[in-house]
Amino acid sequence: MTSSLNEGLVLALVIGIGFGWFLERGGLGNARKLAGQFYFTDLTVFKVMFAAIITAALGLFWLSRFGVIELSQIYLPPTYVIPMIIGGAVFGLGFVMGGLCPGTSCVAMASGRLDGMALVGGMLAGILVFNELFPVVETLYRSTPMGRVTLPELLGLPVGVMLFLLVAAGLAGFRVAERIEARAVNRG
Amino acid sequence: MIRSPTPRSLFMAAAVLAFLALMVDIGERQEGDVHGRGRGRGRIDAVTLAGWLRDRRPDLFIADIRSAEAWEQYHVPRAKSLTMNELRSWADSVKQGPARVTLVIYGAGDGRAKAARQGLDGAGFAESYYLAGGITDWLDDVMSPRLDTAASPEELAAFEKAAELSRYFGGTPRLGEGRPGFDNDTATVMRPSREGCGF
Repeated sequence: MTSSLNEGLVLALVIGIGFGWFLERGGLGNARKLAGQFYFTDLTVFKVMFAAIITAALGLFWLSRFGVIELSQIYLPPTYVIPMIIGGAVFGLGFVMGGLCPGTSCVAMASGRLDGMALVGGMLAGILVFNELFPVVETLYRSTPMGRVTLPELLGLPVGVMLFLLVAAGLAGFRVAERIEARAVNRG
Repeated sequence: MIRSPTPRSLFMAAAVLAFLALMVDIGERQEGDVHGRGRGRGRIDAVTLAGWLRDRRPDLFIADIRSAEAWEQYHVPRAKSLTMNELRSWADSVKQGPARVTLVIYGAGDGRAKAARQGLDGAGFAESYYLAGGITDWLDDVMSPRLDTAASPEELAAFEKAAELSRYFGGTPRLGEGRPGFDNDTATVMRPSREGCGF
C-alpha cells in the first residue's frame, strides 16, 4: 500500500467515527425519531441533514475559493435517472418500514440496538442478492445515464446563485419544520 | 416531544455567507474569459488551450502548480512544473523584461490555479488565464473526449473539433457512454483517483 492510501484510509476511519458519533448525538440512531419524519411528528432528520448540506455546501464553496480544496478532486457519482428513482423508492420503503436508513442502521447496531442489527443483516443480504442477480438487472442498472451532473449545470444557474437558493430554501424549511412540529405537539 | 434547538446566530451566519457567495458569483460574471463571455475571470477551457498548443503559439507559457510527482506522471504538453513561490519569482522576472507572455496556470482543478492567477494579476503579462477544470478537464475534454450517441448537430460539430485535437495529442476520442470506472485508456489511468463508495 502507498503512504497516500494509508493516510486516506486513516482519514476515512476518523471521519467515519465522527460521522457516526454526530448521528448518534443527533438522535438519529433511534428508529422512532427517524420514523417520525414520515409521520410529520418529528422532523429532526430533515433539520439535521439539511443543516449538514448547507454547512458542506458553504464550506466547499468558500474553501475552493481560497484554494484550500479542489472541487474536481471530490467524488461525484454519475446520475442514472430511472435506476435511481427505483432505488430511491425501494430505499424509502425500507426506511419507513424499518425506521432506519443504511447509515443510521450501522449507528444503531453500534449502540447495541437489535433493530439496527436486523437492518444491517438485511442490508448485507440485499447486497448479496443484488450481486448474484446483477446479470439480470444490468441493463436497467445502466439505463438513462446523465453523466456526472450538478444542479447548477442542470438548471443553467451560476454556482453562487444555486448556493444562495439552497440556503434560502433550507432556512425557510427549518421555519416550516418547526411549525409542523409545534402543530404535532398541540395535537398530541 | 423534544424539539431541536435552532440557534439564530448560525442561521444569520449561513444567510450572510450565502449572500456573499451570490455577490462573488455576480462580480465574477462581469469579467470575461478568453472568448469574451462573462463566465469567469481569466478562464480558459482545455480545448482552447489545446488549440493554442497545436498552433504553436510562441508567447505561451504554461505553469503546472501541482506536485512535481504529479507533473512527472503526466502534464499538459509544454507545461513547466512550478511551486507557487517559483511562479511568483518567475512572474517578477517577466515583469521586468520586455517579453510579452501569455500565462496559463493549471492544477488538479480550478481552485488553486484560479487563486494563483488572481494573486499574479497585474504582474505584467499580456494575458493570463487559469485552466478551467485543471488537468482533469484536459484529460476528459482533450485526451478522451466523449460524445453521446443522441447528440445534437452543434454538439457533434464541437466534438469533431475536440476529436481532431485529441488525435493530435495522442488521445482517444469516442462515441457513446463508457462503463463508469472500467475504462482502460491512458487518460483514465493517468486521471487522479476520485472514486468512492458513494455513501
